[in-house]
Amino acid sequence: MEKKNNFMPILIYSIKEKKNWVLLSTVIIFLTTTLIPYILRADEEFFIMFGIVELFILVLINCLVDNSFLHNEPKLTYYMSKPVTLSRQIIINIVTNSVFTVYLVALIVASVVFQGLDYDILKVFKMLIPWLSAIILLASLSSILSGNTLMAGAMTIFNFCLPLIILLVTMFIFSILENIVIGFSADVLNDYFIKNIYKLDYLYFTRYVDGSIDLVYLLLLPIILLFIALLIIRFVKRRKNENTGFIVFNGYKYFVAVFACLIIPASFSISFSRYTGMGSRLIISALLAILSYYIIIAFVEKSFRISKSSIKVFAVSMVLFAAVTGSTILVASQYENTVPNPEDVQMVYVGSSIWSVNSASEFLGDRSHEDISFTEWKRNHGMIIYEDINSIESITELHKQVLMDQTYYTDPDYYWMSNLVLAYWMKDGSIIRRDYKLIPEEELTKEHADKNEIAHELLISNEYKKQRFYYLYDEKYYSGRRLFAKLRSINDYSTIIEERDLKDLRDVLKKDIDNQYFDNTSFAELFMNDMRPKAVMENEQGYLLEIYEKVSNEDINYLDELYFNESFTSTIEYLK
Amino acid sequence: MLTISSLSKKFGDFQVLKNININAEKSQIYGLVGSNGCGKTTILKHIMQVYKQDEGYIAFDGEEVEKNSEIIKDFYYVQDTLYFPYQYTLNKLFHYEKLMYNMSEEKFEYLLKYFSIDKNKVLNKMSKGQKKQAAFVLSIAAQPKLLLLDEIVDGLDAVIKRKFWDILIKEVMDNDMTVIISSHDLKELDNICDKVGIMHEGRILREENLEKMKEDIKRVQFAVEGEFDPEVLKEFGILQHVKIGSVFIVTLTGNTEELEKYLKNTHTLLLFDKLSMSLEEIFITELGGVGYGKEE
Repeated sequence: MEKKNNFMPILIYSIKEKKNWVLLSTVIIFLTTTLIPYILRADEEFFIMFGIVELFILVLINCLVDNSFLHNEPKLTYYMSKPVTLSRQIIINIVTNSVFTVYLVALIVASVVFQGLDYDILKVFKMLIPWLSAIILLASLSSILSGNTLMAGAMTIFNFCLPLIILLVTMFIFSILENIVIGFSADVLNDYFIKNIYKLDYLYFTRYVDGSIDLVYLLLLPIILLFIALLIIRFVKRRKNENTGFIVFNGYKYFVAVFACLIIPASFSISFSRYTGMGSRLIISALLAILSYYIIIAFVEKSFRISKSSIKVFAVSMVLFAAVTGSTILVASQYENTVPNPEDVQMVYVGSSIWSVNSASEFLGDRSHEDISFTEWKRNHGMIIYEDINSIESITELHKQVLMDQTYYTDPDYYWMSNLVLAYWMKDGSIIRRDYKLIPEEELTKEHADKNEIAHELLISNEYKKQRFYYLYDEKYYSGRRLFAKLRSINDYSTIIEERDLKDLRDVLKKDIDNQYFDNTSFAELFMNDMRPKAVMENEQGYLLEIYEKVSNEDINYLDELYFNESFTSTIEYLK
Repeated sequence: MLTISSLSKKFGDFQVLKNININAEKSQIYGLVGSNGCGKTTILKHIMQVYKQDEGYIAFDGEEVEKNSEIIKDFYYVQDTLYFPYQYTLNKLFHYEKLMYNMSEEKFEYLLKYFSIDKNKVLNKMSKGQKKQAAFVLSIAAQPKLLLLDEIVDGLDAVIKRKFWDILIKEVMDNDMTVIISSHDLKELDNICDKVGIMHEGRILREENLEKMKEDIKRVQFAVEGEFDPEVLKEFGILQHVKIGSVFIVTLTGNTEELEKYLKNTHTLLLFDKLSMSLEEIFITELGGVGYGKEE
């Protein structure tokens, strides 16, 4: 018998067999992206996005349907008994679906062009094309790994989201860490992990939606696709077609079960990290993990009786998870008591907003903002960063005090935040970030007094005032600007003085601020930066001074709201 | 020639096939018979490489199938539970399979007429018998060197069965085709098989040319005067014995002439007849020997 090279003819045949799907998809895409918005005279771009969602669904369904022969014994036997190897059949399906996908993408593009929409909307395809390519391959891989088409669909989504699931598990580890190693914040660690180590924006190509395609894109995309293709080849060769059940490969079954059982406790732990204690969270997480694992294994194995091997895998996985978490904690705890040498510090932030620290780091690292100075940026973000060596020394001293005692004196009705964030920008370019959860106490202790003393020094420093009340203390800023103030009553928010030039008030305000003394709440004021005298808050008696700059008569730029009461004697006297 | 050597397979912890050895010669019709669930279909699926063996090998004309999947081009498998692609007619399926096999249009058209099949009817709308005929037509039109038929005549009427065998025998004679048929219908196989492999619980109990098997396993009926204990006949290779009235019916592998002589010498022999054995009777005897069908 003559040997035939039948790959191309079968591929062409397979593509021709798509004609019904092509017709159906054309109608769906045309109807939803062109005709309906035309009739409704609605936002066409929304419908284009809707069309893209449909495109994903159509591609996924097609891939799963084409590979469904793997999940039906007579069907599988029929195709495998034909002189086309299983690998070739999978390749034929991948190529056919790729051609089908290109056609659908062309339909969407045609719809955009036809309606004369902004071509910017097509930028999203720089991300979607890698996604679609990955989904075509992942659907094949998942179909090989699964023994059921619905499960193959679920596994396609699971595999696509696997990098995100890994991130979630990492966040879970960090959330445990932040409760054990003081000063370490899960948010900071996650932020650092995503930005410097686990670059999901590259992996999911999200960074390219607004950016241009670069060499990394051109290299990363084929590497990812090649990696999935190699997995397909490996698992096609190892697939046992006699195996039934939802997942064909035992190893993969356990892999899915272990990761899936970590998602639920991880989500719980991350969501409730601020409301529950560490011990109860760990217990609940462990219980949720066991329950999730049991349900997943029972579902996949179609039996309520869990096998011994499943229990062993779970136990080993949990030991491994504990080992990874433990090692991370061990490494982090080595830096727990580290306070930088002031000589090595370029500048330091003390406050309560880790978000501000991240923004500042981003600003400093991003050269595209050269049109705006860091001083201006700090003003716009209300951020106080100390660069003076004396201030830095005071803060490192304060840091040492915090390491010894994580409480602070406050009146609970007054101050409500309890996070102390310290960020050191080191001269070597590195950043040390610490986030302490402090416990408020109403009884003043020696430790509180020590911290208050250091904080007070900082609060009265020129560096602080020059940043906090820049419109009064920063001569460079003040000169040449049209600055005004409006006085309101706190009680009923009524206007007492409509508008007063700030130069009239400047001296008296400075005098009152210089004399301001926070007493036992200096430390709380330092990191919360609230500046509302207690009496103002309690009695709702006092004044609010709105400070603003008139760039022009129409353009008013509000700079600050200054609350004060009778303790601002000079100002009150002057205003009378 | 198809050679299966030391083939073993486990499905999980269950040993489905145990050291299977099969030799089917060119132009031979090989009958694979066995109890339900004994592994007949599993062997056929191993030949087609749907399943991969744990041990042993399968070779066709000296080439190992696992190492050279190209050989499958020369095989055609008609499975017990038939599958046809959705909404396909026989004609469409013929043209699809033409991409993979050297399908003979001439044979296809001839067989359509012979079996009176409408080639434009959607296959999944056909009756079970029609589907079997359609699958058979395609298998013959594909002109394979090795044809595997799994329960192909199951559910067919006698006329169609006869037509099947006529075509099959003609193909084997004309084209040197090797055919492996697994079937429960042992009476049908009796008429057409050259060689038979009897299976039970994943093992081949016996593999022999059918004629040789019939020569080896014989059945006699005899009656003697007075009491008689058939256990004394052990040396004649007694496989089974049964007493109906005063007549003993004995299945044996030993020499029947010697048995007759022995009985004449030791007893007053009232009756001694040689009976012919069908494949079905051989099958029951063989499986009875391993306890099948004799459970309490």
